[in-house]
Amino acid sequence: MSIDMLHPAPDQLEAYVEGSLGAADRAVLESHLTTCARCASEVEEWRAIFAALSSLPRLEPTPGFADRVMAGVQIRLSWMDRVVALLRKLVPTTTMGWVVVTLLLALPVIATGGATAWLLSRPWITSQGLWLFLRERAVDGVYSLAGRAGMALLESDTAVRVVEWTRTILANTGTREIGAIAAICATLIVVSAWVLYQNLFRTSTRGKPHATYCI
Amino acid sequence: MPYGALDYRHLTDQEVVARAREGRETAYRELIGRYERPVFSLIYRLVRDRELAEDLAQETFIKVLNALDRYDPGHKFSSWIFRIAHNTAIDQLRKKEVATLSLDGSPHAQDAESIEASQLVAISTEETPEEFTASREVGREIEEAIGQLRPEYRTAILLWHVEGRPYDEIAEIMGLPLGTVKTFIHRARNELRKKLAHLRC
Repeated sequence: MSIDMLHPAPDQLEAYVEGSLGAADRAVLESHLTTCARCASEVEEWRAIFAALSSLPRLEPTPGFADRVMAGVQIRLSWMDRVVALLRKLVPTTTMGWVVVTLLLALPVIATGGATAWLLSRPWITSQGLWLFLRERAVDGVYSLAGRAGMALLESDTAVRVVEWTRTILANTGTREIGAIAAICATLIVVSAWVLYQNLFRTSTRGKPHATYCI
Repeated sequence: MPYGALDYRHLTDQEVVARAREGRETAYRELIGRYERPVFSLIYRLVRDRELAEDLAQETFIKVLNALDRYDPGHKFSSWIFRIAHNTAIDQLRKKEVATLSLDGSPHAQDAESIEASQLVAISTEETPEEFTASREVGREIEEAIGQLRPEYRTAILLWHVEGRPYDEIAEIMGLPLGTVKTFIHRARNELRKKLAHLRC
């Protein structure tokens, strides 16, 4: 009896249709199938079963399934995403809104500058006198803050150095330096607001999503 | 595409999960979109009751999406969600003892109309009316034959044939040895072959 006449095991026919038969076994089986009608018919049966199973469709849940699922899902935000979400609620979405926010952010600087200008316009207040008064308050404030931070901290070398360093800076700072710092602060506020605006909002008006702030 | 939404289509499941973990609702919805039909199909074919299947599929997604921080990206997301779907459906079948329910439809279906409505029917959208009727009939026979299989056999065979999952992943999903899964699928196919013999020309 030739090898072609030996019927393969039923499992082999299934494995052949499944595609999991090794190359050598497959070659022997295919050769056998050309001469054995019974095995060829059995292979066709397996093919029909495989085709029927593969034709089974995926069934769909009723519309609104995703919404019903999401109603039961608690989205946990990382602390960074919470901050970004909060910022996104706070930041405006229009150019006019941005102008208002920029002005609001610059308001402390503008108010301080205005108050200083008004005070200096009084004949009995000199710039030197005003500065000495403010410096005194600032030095007192530093000492008071250090006092609240606790005696242990105050007595440490680092705390003493920080207090001395701050006091020296304040003692050696004049009105021109204060004006320069205020100008730098105002510029930084305007520039940072502009950068935020460019990155967060200009992209959306062009229809391009911004990946970093997508929630 | 709404503002701020990423195009998730080219991202892997793991990448979408990473974005969901950052708290992006669009990523959660993407995961639902990817798996609602596979998960619902598996559960529906296990419990054979649409209303119950909807509830269990919903429960599966809620369990999975609320536990994303415990997901190990070293494993396939699909294995994880299918495992939870399978376990949820099997628990339900054990609890309600509906494993031996009527194969003509839902155990809750009382009249002919509701029995018809609760039957699983395979429908393809690209068929002529004649083909549609024929395939509908064949589909009904196959679904009924599958419904007669043990639930474990059903999961194994559906994951292999409908979802195209390899044996090792099915073993991982079902928490069974590889050999057992192969045996399940082999036996299930043989049972189906016997049951569907009358359909062959």
